[in-house]
Amino acid sequence: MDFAEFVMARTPALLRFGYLLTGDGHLAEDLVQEALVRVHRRWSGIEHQGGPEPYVRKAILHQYLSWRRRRSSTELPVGHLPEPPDPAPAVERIVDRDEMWTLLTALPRAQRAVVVLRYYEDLADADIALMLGCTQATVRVHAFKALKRLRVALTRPAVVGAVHDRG
Amino acid sequence: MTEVERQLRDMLSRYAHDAPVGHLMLTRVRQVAARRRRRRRVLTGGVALAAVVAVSGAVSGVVSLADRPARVQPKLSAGLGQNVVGVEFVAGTPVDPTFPFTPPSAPVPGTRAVLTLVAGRPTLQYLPPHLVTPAAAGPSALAASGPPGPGSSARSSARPNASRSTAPSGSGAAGGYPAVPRDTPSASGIMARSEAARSQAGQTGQLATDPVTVVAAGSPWTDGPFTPAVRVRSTTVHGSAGVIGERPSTYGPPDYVLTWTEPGGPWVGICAPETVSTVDLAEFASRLTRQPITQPGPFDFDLVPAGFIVDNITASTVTFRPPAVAASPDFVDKLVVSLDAERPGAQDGRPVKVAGRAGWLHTVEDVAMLRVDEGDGFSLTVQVPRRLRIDEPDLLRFAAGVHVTTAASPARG
Repeated sequence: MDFAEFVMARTPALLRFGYLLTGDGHLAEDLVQEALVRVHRRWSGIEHQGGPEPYVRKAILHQYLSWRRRRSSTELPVGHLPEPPDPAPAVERIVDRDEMWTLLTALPRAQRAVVVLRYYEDLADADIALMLGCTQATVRVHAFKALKRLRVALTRPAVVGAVHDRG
Repeated sequence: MTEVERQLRDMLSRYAHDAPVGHLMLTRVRQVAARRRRRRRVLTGGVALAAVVAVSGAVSGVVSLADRPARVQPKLSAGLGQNVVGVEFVAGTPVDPTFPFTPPSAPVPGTRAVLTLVAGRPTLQYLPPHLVTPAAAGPSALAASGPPGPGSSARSSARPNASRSTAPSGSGAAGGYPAVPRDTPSASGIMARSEAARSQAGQTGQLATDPVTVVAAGSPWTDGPFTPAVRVRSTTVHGSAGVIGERPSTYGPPDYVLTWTEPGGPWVGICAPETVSTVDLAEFASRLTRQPITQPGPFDFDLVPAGFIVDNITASTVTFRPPAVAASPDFVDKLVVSLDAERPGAQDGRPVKVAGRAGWLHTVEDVAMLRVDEGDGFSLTVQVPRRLRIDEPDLLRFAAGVHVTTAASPARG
C-alpha cells in the first residue's frame, strides 16, 4: 500500500479518532494532517515496520498530548459539577449523550485519551500503555479517575416518565 | 461493564460520526509536505542551492510532461486502471450543475438555496444569505417561485472573449433545462467575486445548525451522511415509502434525515436540523416537483477531456474524472480547475503564456499545477496529475479555453 492509498483508505477512521480526542472537527483535521505529514517523510521505513496504522495513531496521540496549550481551547471547563447525590436512593440514569460529551471535554487529556482508546478503540490496557508510553497501572489509574469524574457528574435520582415528542 | 461505561461507549460511537470526512486530506498533506521539503532544502543547502533545486525540479516535471514516451505504459495508481495512456480534448459542452427537482419555498425561512455537484450527486443546500456569495446566489429565486421562466438565465462571462458569453435567448438553458436566474446579475464578475470573497472571509463559520441539504443520487447512499443513527418513523413521499431518522449533528441537537427512492429513481436524501419538524420535512419533500433546474457553472470550457466525467461543481471548482476513477469529492487522479483568491507569481513556478495571459507552471509531487493570472488578485488554477499524461502544450491549450463566468466565486486557502 502506498502513502496515497493509505491516506485515502484510512483518513475517515483517523479523523474519528482525532475528533474523539479533541472534540473539534478542525482540530482533528489539523492533528491528523500533522501526523500524516510527519509519516509522509518516513513512509518507506514505516511501511515495513508492522504496518503504518499503529505508527500513525501513535503519532496522532502524542501530537494531541503534547499540543501546546493555546491549541486546547476546546477543552471546555464545566461551570460546576452537579451536586453529589444522596448515596442511598441514587441510581445511574440514562443521561443525554450531549451531557456526557461535555463532561468528556473537561477531562485532562491523558484521561480522555485512555477513555477513547479503551471504550472506542477497544484496546486492552497493555496496548494502551504501549501507545502512551506508560505502565498498565498508570492506564488503570487514568481510567479510574475519568470514570469516577463521569460517574459523580452523571449519578442523579432517576427521572421516570419523561416524554418528549418532537414530531 | 457498568452503566456509565456502557453509556460512554455508546456516546463515543455516536459522536464519532460527527468527525469530518477529510476528503482533501491527501492534497493538503502533500502540499504541506512539499512546502516543508522546500524549507528544509533552503535551510540545509542555502538559498542559492535551493533555488537551483527548485528550478531543476520544475523543469524536470515539465520535461516529463512534454516528452511522453511512445511505448512505455505509464505507472498508474490502482484506482486509475491500466488503460489511460493520454488524454484527448474535444469541443466543450456546458458544465452546469442540474438538480432533478424544483423545490418549493425554503424549508427554513431566510435561507437561500445553492446548487452544487458533489461526488457526482446533485446537491441543494439552504444557507443563510450572508453565506451565499452574490455570484452563487442563483437558486434563491426558485426558493419562492418555483421554476423560473424562459429567458431568465442571464448567464454571462467575466471575460470579454468568452465563447459562451450569453445564454441563448428564449431557452436560457444548459442541458435543455430551465435555468436558474441569478438575483444579483453583475456587470463585473470580478467585482462580484471580490464582494463574495470579502463576505466569505468575514462571516463564514456562523451557522448555528446544519443547513438543510437535499441530495439526489442514482443509487441509495447507505453509508454516507444520510444514514440515520436512529429510526424515527416511516412516511410516504410521492407514493414511495420514506424513512425519517435522526443522526448526530455538529451543532448539538441531532438532525432529521428523510430518505426515499422515487419511482424509477433517483434516490433522494434530505437532512434538516431539528428545528424543522418531521411534519414540515415530509411536507417539503412531497412538494419537490419533477422539473429539473440548472444553475450556471463557474467556468465555460472551449475544450474538455474526452471521455472524462464531471463529478464536482462548486462556485470555485470543477473536477473531471477519468472513467476508471470513482466519483468522489476529492481531487485525486482528476483534472481540476479552480478559481482562487490569490495572485499568482514567480513563486508558482516557471513562467508560461496562456492565451496572452501570464501563467506559471510547476509540479508538486506528481501533480502539475498551472496558475494563470486573472487579474484583481485572482488566479485560475489547473491541476493535472502527471499520470494522466497530459503534455504541456495540451495543458496550456486547455487552460486557454477556460473562461471564468460571473457565477464563479473564488476559493480561499
